[in-house]
Amino acid sequence: MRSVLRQVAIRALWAIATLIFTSILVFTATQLMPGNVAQLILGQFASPEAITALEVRLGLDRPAIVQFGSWFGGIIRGDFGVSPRMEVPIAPILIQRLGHSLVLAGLSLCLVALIGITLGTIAALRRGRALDRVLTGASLVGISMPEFVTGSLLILFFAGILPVSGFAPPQEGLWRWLSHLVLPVLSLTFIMLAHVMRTARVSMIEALGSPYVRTAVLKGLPKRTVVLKHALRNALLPTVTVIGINVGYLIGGVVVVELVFSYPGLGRLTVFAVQNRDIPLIQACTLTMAGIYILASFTTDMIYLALNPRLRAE
Amino acid sequence: MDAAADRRTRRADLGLRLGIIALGVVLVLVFAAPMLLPFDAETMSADAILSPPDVRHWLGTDHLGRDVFARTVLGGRSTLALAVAATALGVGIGASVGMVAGYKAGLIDNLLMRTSDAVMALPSLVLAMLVMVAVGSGPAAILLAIVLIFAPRAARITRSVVLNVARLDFVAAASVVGESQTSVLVREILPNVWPNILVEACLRFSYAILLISALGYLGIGIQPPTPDWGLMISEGAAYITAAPWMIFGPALGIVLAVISVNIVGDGLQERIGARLRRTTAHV
Amino acid sequence: MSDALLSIENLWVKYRQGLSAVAAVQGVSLTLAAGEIVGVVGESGSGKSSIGYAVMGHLGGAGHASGMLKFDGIDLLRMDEAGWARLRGRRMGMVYQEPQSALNPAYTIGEQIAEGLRYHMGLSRQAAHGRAVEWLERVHLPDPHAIYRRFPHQLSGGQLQRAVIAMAFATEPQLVIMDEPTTGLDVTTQARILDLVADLRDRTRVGILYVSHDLRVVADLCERVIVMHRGLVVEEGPAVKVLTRPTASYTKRLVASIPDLHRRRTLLRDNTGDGEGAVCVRELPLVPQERRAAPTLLQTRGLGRTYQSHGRATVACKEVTIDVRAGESVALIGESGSGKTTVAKCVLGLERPSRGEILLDGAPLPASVHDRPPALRRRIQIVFQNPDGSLNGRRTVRQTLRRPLLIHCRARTTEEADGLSAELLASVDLPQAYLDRYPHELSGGEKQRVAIARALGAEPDLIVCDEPVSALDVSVQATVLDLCRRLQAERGLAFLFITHDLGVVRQIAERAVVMLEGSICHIGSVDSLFAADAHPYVKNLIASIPGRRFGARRPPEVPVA
Repeated sequence: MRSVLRQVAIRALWAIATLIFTSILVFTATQLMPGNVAQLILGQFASPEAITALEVRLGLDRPAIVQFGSWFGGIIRGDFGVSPRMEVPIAPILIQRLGHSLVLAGLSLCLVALIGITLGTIAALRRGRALDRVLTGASLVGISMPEFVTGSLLILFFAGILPVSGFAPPQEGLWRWLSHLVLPVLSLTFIMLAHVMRTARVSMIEALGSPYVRTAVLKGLPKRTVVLKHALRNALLPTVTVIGINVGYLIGGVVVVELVFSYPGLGRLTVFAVQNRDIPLIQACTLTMAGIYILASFTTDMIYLALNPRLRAE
Repeated sequence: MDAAADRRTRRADLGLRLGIIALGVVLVLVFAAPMLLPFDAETMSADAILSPPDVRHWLGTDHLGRDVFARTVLGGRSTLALAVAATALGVGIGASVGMVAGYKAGLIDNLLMRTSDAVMALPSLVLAMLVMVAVGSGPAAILLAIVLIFAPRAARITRSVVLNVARLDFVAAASVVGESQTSVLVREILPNVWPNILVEACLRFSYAILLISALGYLGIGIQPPTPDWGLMISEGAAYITAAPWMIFGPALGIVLAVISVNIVGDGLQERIGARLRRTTAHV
Repeated sequence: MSDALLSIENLWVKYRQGLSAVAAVQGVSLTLAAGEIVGVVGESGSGKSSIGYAVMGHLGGAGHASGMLKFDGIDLLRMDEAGWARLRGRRMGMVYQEPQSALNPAYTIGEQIAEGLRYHMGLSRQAAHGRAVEWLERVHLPDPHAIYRRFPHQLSGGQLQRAVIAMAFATEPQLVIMDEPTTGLDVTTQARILDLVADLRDRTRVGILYVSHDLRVVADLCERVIVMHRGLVVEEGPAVKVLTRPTASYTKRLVASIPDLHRRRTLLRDNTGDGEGAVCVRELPLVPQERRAAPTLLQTRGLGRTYQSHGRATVACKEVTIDVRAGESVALIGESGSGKTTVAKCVLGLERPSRGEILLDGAPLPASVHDRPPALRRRIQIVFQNPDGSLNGRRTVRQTLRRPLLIHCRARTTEEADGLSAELLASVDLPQAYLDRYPHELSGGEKQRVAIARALGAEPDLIVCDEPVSALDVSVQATVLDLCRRLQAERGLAFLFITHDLGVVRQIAERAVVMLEGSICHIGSVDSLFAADAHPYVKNLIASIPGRRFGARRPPEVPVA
């Protein structure tokens, strides 16, 4: 038990350290941005006095380390600063958009895990047969189709049947809310599903060929128990890892899909920030996405720890 | 051992060959065809705006009257060239670091791996966007971004394979026989590691194509008017119902390129894993 | 026999391989009565394990059994899935080689035993738990309640095998198939497992089909034995008779190859092939020539190695002081975890000692192999235990043998090196044609010969052999031991021979060092191991060696001074 707590603590500390490192990286990257920020905001024809005044107002005249300190301090208090482009505080928008994106990502992730593991298991059990080959072939196409291609094709086919852009809050009715989510979730699911299915299939094949599954078979256990209890349990380990890694991919996918379907989430906000060189907004968005990924990796580690007695024990 | 495994190995070899052929076709199309094309990718023609595919324009024309086929082929050229360079550089650097880290162990290993862990904590696309923000968009920035994304992962994978190989007896025997550390690394470990590096490179190459296209689609990768698959799809999105052919060309390009690379990667993986994975299911 | 529990007649097992089929078992017949233990003995590739799996109806997708296979009057070859469900795990149990992988790593030991009880015997969760604990106790596992909650990785190999045995016996089967259940376990552990099996048989009247490569184990445990070679039964009969008075030439050879505790024998040179041909055994003097006069070559002084992990220190070895004289063969004896391999690695510079020093010709050796100049490294070479890991799979024999020759300037050009490599191969009795082979094209014994040739390539003074024959079939083992002995005589090579097998020690060594839990517990001549005043652990070690039934007839011969 103590060893488990120890491992949880180590991983939590590591996650926090990574988050700090990441914030330094984010801050440095935005500092390197070419061009004068104040000038970018005020436009080409601003007077030098106006530029200096804005720089002082934004605190851009201070040394980088001081700027980082005040920025990071603000974040810890939940203050992400003010977006110069939109001229509003960032935090409320960020939270709202993050919520929208999390719905999208969460739904996709659940679908991917559920369907991916099921299909992978079925393919492994039917290894070499027609169904396996169809599924494997389909997954090959799946991992080769980026979200914006899938999304564009979905728009082409479903335009008029399902909403192809925008967002409806759940207060406007469950169906309206869901209908706006169907196509974005489908586009996100497709490519990741292929990844998860392939991993689940391979690890399941490995587990089915293992000596402990042979033991279970020769113990006379029914096939259902052998597959679900003995093989799947062990095949889940690599699959969980791959799903965890895919969260990183999912975050990128969400950015793209939100653009395809004009979905008002964190991703679209980020692209807006990058295109408009809105530094505080870029910092806030990228750091949030990194934070989500770090949290997801931490969660993956915890699930792995729970599933794998070899890590849990002394 | 058994017939089913034999059949699987043969099928994997066949797949590998098919993949290589498909990849060859894509490469020839992309690198040789522009010389034979009747149209320039940049030429706009006002009388052929959004015209559907016909004998003249195989894949139709876009909103500026440019030939979609010509642009697809040219876009593929820049994307694939960039993807090859970025993959080779990223995986190459990563694999070298991973080899040294895995063999040397200790402090160097810890330092290198902690750094790569930290860089990997950023989702790929977020890291790419940060690089674009920091150094501006353009092929060089894309190259840098992909190298930064690929190197840590390649280092991790190589390191873990090296760790597995380095504890095998023949590595110790080589040291005892008198080989220097460099010699052990190059003569004994590398030949056992490079198949894995090759597979990783293959998988990463297909991901590089996807990344470059995604950046183009987001408008922060390759800038117009240079043709680029992702960019073309984002331009076509506005005309999706009126002129769906605008996205067919680039979409087909991406899917074909990525699929053929993936088939090659799968075939290679099956081949190096053939000895290990010759298992028969007990159920 | 009509009252036979299991009767096999003219059993054939074939495995499809591409378009053809390989017959692993070719017309084997045997019967087994309730309460009887029948041994099936053979070397690798003899088809012995296929018999067990054919009985369990589990030959994999490519395997096919034909002939007659009857269990308690039931025709096993015409059994459907539903029929098997009533037999497997209920009336027939199985115990496997490598218990580490036979148990599911994700579930506790107890859960895996209780599972079968619940399913087959309809016990409630609670009753199954109780019964499982009972069985854990019956196989003499300490603190069965605690073991019940343990996961497989938390148990030692011997404990795991006890748990697997408990799992097989818990559902009170009539027949248990045991497939090399003690292979890979220490001798003392093996002896205790064998006692347990015999005891269980006496108490439960279960019929046991015991598959093993070790004739001595089978002789101790079984009433009747069948000896298999390449799918055929070459000899069968009462165990003691087969072992002491074998009639088939293959069995004779097999028996002659068993390293004897009390005799030194050599198999004559014409037997280096694959085990065919007549048996030519020559007795050697029991005590080889003394080497008191020879100068000391290698010394370890107070060698210690401690591993630190998670703030805990594990002592691998401590205060190890060993001398090896020039041209002498010293055996370093110990079971797994005794620290013998750590000592070897320290000597080779593959492991850094935490304490003490290693001297070669009286001069201290740098701790790490990479800090030792080539001229020093050349003098100590290694042959490893596992033939599969000891050669680089991606390099030919030629490429492997060339390296020591070029590094130590024995050859200036690759052509010159190739000539010398061919000579090296000849000195380990391999043809020159093997130069262009890859390791996967060699058998286990051949790989070990190449590994020895590589070591010889450096012209060493000392070869450290880390269990070089324990992974080999017994007939191959004998020829490799012969080779080592010949090299020692011809080249004046010294050997530090690490082994757990006292029979091997007798064949090869002049002096013996016994290690127990990291320290030396006995040092002296090989004969001193059998002396009355030997360390109790040494006595236990000797008592554990299988083959008591036939070995007991021959008292240890008095050493000739």
